[in-house]
Amino acid sequence: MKNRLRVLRAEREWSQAELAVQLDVSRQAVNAIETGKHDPSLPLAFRIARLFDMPIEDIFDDEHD
Amino acid sequence: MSSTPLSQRERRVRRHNIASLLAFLAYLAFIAAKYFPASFLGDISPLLALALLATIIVMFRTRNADEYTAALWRVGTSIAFVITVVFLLMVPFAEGFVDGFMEAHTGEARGQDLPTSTHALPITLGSFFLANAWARLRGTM
Repeated sequence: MKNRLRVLRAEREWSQAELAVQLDVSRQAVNAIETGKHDPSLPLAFRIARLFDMPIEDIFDDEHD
Repeated sequence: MSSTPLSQRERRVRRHNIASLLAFLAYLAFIAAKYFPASFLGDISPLLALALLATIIVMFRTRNADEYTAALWRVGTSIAFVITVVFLLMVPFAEGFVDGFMEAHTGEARGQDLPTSTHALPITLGSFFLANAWARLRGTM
């Protein structure tokens, strides 16, 4: 699943480690989600959406792999 | 350059990753010792088995450190389970089928030559490590 996590993180000038702390996951998890190697769980997707104050579908795109 | 202290979760994930690497290395050394018992590795084979067991226990205890490590663990264990079941059920079946076919043509009866139970552990662990590495490189889906 494609996502805009890397772009959104870069816009806020956060490192992967900083984002990981805010989402309560590991830096490896953030990296795996950004590179499309791991689809986040629904609770994590909601945490991401709340953190960036955006709807989930504006961050994740399930129609284009 | 300042560095932020690692969170408990990050430390557990790192422990899991280091244990995965060490378990894989111990597995390779253990397999080498099994097939080359006269080598130096053959002498330390019990130590390698202990190292393998200890690192797998660490992996098991830290498998839920993070949802990503949990996904990696799930990929490894589910693939290893399927491979083990297929190996233990299908290999003796295939051998019996081929032996029966050969016996019908040559008239020579053949017993079971492939000791599947002996190879089950290396196959199970090998498939777990391969699937785990594959998931790290290509994704957990």
